[in-house]
Amino acid sequence: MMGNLSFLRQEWLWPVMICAAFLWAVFLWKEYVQSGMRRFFLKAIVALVAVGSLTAMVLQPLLSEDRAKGVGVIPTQNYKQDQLDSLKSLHKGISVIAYDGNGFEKAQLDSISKAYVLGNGVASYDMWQLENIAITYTGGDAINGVVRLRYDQEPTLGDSLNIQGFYVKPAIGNRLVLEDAGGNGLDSIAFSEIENLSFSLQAKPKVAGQFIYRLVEKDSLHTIVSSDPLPLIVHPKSMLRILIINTFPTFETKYLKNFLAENGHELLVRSQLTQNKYKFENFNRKQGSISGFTRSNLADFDLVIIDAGSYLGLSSASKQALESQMEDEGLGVFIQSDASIMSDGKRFGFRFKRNTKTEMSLSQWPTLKIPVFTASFESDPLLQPILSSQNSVLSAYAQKGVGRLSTSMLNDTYQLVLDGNEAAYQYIWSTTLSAVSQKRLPIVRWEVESDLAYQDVPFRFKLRTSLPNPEVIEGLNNQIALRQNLQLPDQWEGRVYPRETGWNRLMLKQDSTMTMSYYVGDSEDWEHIKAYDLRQENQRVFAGSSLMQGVISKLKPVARWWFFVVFILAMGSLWVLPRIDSK
Amino acid sequence: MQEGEQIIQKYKQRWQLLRGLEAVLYGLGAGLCVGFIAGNITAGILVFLAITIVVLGIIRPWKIGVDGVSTYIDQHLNTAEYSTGLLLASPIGLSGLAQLQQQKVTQRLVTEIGAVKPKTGLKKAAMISAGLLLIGLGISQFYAMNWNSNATTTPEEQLMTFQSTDSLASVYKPPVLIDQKLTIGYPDYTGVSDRTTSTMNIKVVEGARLFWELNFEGAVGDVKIEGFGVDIAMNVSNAATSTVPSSSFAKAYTPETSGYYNFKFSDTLGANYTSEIYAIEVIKDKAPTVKIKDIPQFTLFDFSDTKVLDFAAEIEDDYGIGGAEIIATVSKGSGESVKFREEKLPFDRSVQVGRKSLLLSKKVALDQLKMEVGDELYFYVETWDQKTPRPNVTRSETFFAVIKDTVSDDFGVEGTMGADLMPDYFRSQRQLIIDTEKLIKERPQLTEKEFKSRSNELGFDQKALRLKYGQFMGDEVDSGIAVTPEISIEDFDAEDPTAGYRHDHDSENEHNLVEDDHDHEGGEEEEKSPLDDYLHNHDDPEESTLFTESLRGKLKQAMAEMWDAELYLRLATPKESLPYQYKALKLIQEIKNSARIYVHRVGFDPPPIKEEKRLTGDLEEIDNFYKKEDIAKADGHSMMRASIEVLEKRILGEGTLSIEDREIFAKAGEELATITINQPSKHLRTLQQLKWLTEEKVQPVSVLRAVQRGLLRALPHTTVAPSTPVQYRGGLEKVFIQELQANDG
Repeated sequence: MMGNLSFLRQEWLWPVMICAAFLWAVFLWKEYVQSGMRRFFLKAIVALVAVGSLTAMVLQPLLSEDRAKGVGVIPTQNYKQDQLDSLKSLHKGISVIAYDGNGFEKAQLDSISKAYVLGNGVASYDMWQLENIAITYTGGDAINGVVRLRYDQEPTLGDSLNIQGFYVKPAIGNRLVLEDAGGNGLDSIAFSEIENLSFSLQAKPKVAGQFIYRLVEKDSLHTIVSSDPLPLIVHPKSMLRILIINTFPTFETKYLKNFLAENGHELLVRSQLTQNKYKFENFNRKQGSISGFTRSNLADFDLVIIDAGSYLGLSSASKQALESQMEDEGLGVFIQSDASIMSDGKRFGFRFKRNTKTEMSLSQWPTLKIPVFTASFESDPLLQPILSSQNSVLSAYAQKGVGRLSTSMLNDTYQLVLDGNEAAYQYIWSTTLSAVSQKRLPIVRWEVESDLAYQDVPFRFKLRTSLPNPEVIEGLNNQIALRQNLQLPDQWEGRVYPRETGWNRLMLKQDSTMTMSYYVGDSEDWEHIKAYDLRQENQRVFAGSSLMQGVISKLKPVARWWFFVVFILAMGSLWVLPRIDSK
Repeated sequence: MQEGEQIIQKYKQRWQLLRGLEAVLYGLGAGLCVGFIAGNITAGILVFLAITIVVLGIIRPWKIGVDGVSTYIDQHLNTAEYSTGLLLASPIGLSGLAQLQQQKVTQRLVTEIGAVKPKTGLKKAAMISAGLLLIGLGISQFYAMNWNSNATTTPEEQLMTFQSTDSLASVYKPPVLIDQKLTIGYPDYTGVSDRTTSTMNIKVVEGARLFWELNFEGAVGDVKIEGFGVDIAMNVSNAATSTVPSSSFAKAYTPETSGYYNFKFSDTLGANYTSEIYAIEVIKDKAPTVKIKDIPQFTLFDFSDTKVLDFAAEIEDDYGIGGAEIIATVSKGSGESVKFREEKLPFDRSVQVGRKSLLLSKKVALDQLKMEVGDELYFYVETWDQKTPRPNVTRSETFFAVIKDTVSDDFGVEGTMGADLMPDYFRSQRQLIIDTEKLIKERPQLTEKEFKSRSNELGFDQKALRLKYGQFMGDEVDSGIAVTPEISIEDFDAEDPTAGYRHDHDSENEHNLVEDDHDHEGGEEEEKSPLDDYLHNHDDPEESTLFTESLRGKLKQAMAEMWDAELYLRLATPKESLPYQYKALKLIQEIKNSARIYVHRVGFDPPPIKEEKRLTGDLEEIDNFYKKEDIAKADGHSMMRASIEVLEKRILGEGTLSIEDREIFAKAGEELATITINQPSKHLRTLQQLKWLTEEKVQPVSVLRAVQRGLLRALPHTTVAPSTPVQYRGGLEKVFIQELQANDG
């Protein structure tokens, strides 16, 4: 029992006890001097009682108290009124606890042991307050609108932007329009059924920079029903440094080099003229030449495009340099295929199966026939497809260390240009070469939990960097505390509370060019997605807490009033005792 | 009222109405005339009313009475018998005869009253009115032209509006444009006279000279025309004096390309004002078109023909033709000795310079051009317009005329092959196979005898074929394997001693396709081999040089197969003969094919290469080749893109428009102008607003948005191109790749 004894002012225990002992000792001494041993022990005991009750008044001992708590209901946004009404009639005296997304009053939660959450639910950052309460989550009014959305927030200029989403209960006749920053409609979809709908909208950003595209829903009279932002950071194209090695000039190389050079890539093309004599063509770069490969001269390139004959004819030193540059530094190597590769893929690091198909088509251009070699890649765990068609891989790369070695089944793609199918040609080569080429390595990688941030709502981010002690600054000069991951020392986590809507920025203190921009929306932006996510989370979190918990015992301080009475009685008896003796 | 009286009353009313109409016509003519001349409707209406009333007063249609009408009808209608007056009288109290006459006249009037035309001046009135109208129109047109050419002011609604470009609102009244004129001076050669207009959006022909005149009310510092790449300051027409500030400005300019421009002026206090943007579209003077008619592209004459070409050329041009002529080239001879002679021929009629379309004809006598047999004439029509400094020239299609040469020899290169190795009868093995298969098929329907007979006949054909191939081998007819006619038991005829030797079915002329002009003497007939001329050695088949050794072997093999085929045919087992026939056919095909290859092979005989000399050429003077080129396509819209990005920031409230921003907008405007020329209706407004942004006056966010929107719409789509992806590579990734590689082996 005593082991459980605790006080409200536990921290004062010893000073108060010492004071009390001293007080008692003084009293004992004074009594002994004044009255001698007459009724000494009785007085000592009474005095002890008085001092004890005084001490108790200061320290306030706690007593555990068992209490049957009440039932509460927490109506949140979009709750159903009839649900609330029926709960009120079911539980007499149910306490209605208001929630506005900004935490609970502690006292209100103390009085209940069970609660119903109605509507969209409690924000994740407020859930901890409901830990000791059995929660039944009931949901709320049906949501109709966009509840799921996925798109690449940071595309590269020239890539197409694909916005995929899921719309619940669309209204017939309404249209969903994707608008660019200026408000030009780029793509739209009209709702013709009430069925829930997965939609996909396409656009091609025309300008690099930070923009707010919008997904606007309009009714049949073109009145705007809703308009939600799609923050977009379009990165400018980065130029590749490419080396092309050919034993003899081909049309394939000629068209490829024209395409790459016209797009501004730095290009060095070496084609053999005769024994040890070469033609060096430098496009968009300073004059240069290359004979044997070394790690240092290969370091000037992101990508090496080499024909099969040149690849096989490489000296062992050159081959060694190429391979180590690929495996250690991530250099991309693309081998221009010819019939000899198909018959002897192993010499190049690939395995092929023979087949009879001479033409294939891509899913984007189903009617377009592209000539291919009569072989296909054999599946390999390290082989990653780049372009596929009808379950067969047209071009693929094999991971070699951090670099990639690639080849393609496509034959004479320049025919596409001659036939006027430039778009397909550009797609094929852009996709292939982007996948293979050496990657740019940033110092920092920023990761965010959700694409959208809201004002005054915590926004979590992750940081991956090899820097020893990264420091992140938000806004003008507010440093954000970071938490390092125990297992992965290069991973850090942080949390900000955005103060203003619009574009916000996080910056690495060590390198101010390493920034992350994120868009903070209005509280009304994407309300359906927000509501949907919140409901999912509430359902998941509160699913386990729906068990009715028993009576909860709680410590409560004993009212001081009782000790005061004892103290008065004790003091009274001490006052009375000498008077009885004197009579 | 009686019926007769009613008729007369009606007639009276009609007459009155027509006279009234006459008055109205006079009034209308005069009113319209005055209205047009004065250009004022009210004046016209007033004159119309006045004249109508005056004329009505003169004509006084209401004065036409019943009695007058009656007299008039009596005078103009004989059948009325001067009795219409009776109709007006009451029948009561009339004599019986009078009543009778009354009824009679009434009946007549009912039918004939229409024939009496009331006397009116309607025609005259209509003519005078029309005359007045024409006069009015003419005068008004004349005045209008006069007014336009002498106009000193432009209607207010056509005047340009100027916007202040400074952010400070002017507290004083800004100068106001009161007159604007643009004179377009067409190039002299077009023959179009100068035109003056107040609209500033114009289309002009290349080389036209533009002359702007602007008149202001109030003091103006200077006026500039912006937008031709450089700002052009306008000249002051009236020099400023101490009391009268300069207010009239003029500038001449000859635009070279289509483009946009605007005016900008500053007042004496330095505040700037800019106008809207106007377009100048420069239209190229089109080249003339020429069509040659009435003649085919290629004409062929015999020597005996009258060698005359007669054709017409239809020439058209937008501003006037400068000239036309025929360029004729005569070619003589052929091959290396060909000679050309060029002549310029005029048309029959001289070309009328300055006409917009012409139809010119020409007769060309080839004899006059001294053309002989085998010569060729090529000609086309060349025409040009009057454009200066360099006219547009057009040529027609080229036409040909040839005088046929009937005595020319053909020199055939392909005739070098000594022997035609493909005689027709090589094909008959296939025919034999077909016949044999047919025989096998028909066997059930045939009698045993018939079947055997046909099989035997096929055997003979096979033999004949074999012997013919034998001739190619050099086998002589007398070497014992000639086609010896056989004596068939069925066909033996004692009457004809040669019958046994002449098996009609076995001969080549089985169906009498060739006239059988002589009888074959049995056994003695000597068929002349078609190849006799080519054979060198008749004696020994082995020495025959007609085929190479491998071909000889094949042919021999084929003949052996034919032997076997014949054997089985003779044994009346055609089925067993077929495989041999097929083999023979296959061999013959091979021989044919190898013969073809042989023909090609003799064409080129490369000299042998010494292996040790291969790839040992002297490369000393061959050097590496270096080339450096920057062919990255310049982005013609970089400033437009930059503007869009700047605008996005400014719209979101990041800073205000700076001088640098304005420079970007100005350059973006130039880029947009090149797009706008092709689609003015789409982008002109954006261009205008972009222009505003380059000025100092602060524009509302709505304008920024509109410009951003317009620029985004005007930008072409980007093309897909390879790019370097960004990829973070941390410890986790390194471990992953290492594991991947470790498990690869």
